[in-house]
Amino acid sequence: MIAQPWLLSLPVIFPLILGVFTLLIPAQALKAAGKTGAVATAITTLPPLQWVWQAGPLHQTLGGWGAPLGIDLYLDGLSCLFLLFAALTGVCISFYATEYFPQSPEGHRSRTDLFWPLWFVTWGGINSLFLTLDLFNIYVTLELISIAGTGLILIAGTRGAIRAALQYQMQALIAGLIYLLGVGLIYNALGTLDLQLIAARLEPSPLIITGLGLMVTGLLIKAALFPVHFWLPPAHADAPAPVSAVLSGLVVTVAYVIVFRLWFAGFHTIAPPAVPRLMGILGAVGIVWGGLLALRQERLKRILAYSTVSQVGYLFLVFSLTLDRPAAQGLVWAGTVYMAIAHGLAKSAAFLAAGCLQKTEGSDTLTALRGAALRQPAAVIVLALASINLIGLPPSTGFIGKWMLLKASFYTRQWGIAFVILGGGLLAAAYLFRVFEVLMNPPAETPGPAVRPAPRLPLGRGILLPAMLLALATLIPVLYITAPEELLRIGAPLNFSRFITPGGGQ
Amino acid sequence: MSLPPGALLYALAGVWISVIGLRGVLAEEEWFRRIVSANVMGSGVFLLLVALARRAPDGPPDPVPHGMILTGLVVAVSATALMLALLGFLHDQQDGEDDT
Repeated sequence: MIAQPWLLSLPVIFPLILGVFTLLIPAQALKAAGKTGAVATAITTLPPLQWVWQAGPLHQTLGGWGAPLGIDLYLDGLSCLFLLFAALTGVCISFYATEYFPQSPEGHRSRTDLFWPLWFVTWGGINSLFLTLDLFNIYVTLELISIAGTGLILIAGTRGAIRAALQYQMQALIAGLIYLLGVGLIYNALGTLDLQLIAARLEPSPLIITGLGLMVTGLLIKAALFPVHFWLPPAHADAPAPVSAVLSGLVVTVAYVIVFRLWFAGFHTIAPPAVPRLMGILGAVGIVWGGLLALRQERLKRILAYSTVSQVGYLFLVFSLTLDRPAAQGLVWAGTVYMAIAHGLAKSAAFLAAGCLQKTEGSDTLTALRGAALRQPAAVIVLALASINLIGLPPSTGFIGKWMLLKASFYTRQWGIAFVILGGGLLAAAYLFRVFEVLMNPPAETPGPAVRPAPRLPLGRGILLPAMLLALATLIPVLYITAPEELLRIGAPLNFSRFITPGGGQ
Repeated sequence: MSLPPGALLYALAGVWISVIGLRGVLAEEEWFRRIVSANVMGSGVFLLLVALARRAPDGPPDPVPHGMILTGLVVAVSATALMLALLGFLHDQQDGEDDT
């Protein structure tokens, strides 16, 4: 069926090699290597995508060792969508970063040069997590991403960033240990780490349910669900802008996608109904809580970070919404995936724009940014396009996702959730319009055209192009909405039955 | 769960130790104590995994959990080293600020 299944491992291996490569080459060559490497990494994801589109879910055993002992890579419509999403976001962030970080002086490596190795390792980890079905492989990769993420935050070099990195690494270690404990219990009960085999062997025993609970808890911390989101705002706000975009746009999404996959691989059939309900309620509270705190922040990047806490909440409504009416599942799944991708793209774009404003205006406090729309119109336009998504206005992808979730909540008669979905949009509008009110209005007490005539740190031309592309990408899918939905159906989101029957699960 | 009684004892001890460690991470104020607590929690988790590896009273233990523990140890050691280095940075900076 597929000529070269080994190509499936390229999206993982290639960025990891680039990570080592960018550590070794001279600093002068870094920007060119970063750009070409990013484009090449994105291209490695395309051939497997084509196969899945034509022939259905793809499967590859690494090194000739299949499950249960070895590690399998698995690619279905869901992983395809997220691989594409990571590729687009990754390329845009890479191009932005080449302009954002200053060029090191001749023969000298500065701290910002470490962005490239750390970022490519993170990218490889992200791709690997979209492709793996091995519970322990997930643990290792998550820890890899966390340690690389800590390093990425540290590039900022400020005292606040060091504190944020410490907090970030601590949550990652604890979340990882909790997850690992769950993996140990599941392995003891079922004798395998392969998600397909586990899905086939699941039974509602206390040991399995405890293991599942621990694994999901660990992942919830990494996905920053309320009330375990406390580590996110400092980490995402104090990191340099491209890193904020990586962490808020990609890393949080990855942790969430794993919860999603584990859950609908079969855990939803054995979990007590109180668990998905609780996750839905925490999601709803997170939407409101994150929104309210975003309203109270005085720094643009902090506002965006709390907005992530709020937007992550939407993604957890799926567990509650699919509980009573399995018929609504397809709708809720599609809506949730749209929300996740819309948020990832829009939040990356917003952070990149915020980074430009922070550099040119000298600070990202709302007082410093007053009237910035007159001086930096392009950055503010990108921020506005991203906001259309975050608020969920038509014709954005965020709107489509929200609309689907809203429909599902009516369909399942969960009025409380419907109320929160609508209210959350209003809250997002409130905290973002507050930003635009400041950006659009020059200070009243100092009239005159030239309050701050020249940007303090001139940035290269075209730095905003990638951010603009990301923001625009969220507005496109409305034109051909059926393609992603069809893609999502390949492998019938996480329903492995079709896959297991022909070859035999064992 | 079919654990031999001895292994069950270790497993329960592992759970208890990891709970103590987790409590320390959440309750302690000082970062150094929190880092140590995280390591205590790690030891508890690894002890539990060791105990779970012994599935039958005789017979060899299952090697897969051992592999998991080894990897987990590497992760825990690297994360601890990283956090201690960061703490050291913060500490040095603090001293510098005090001097000036």
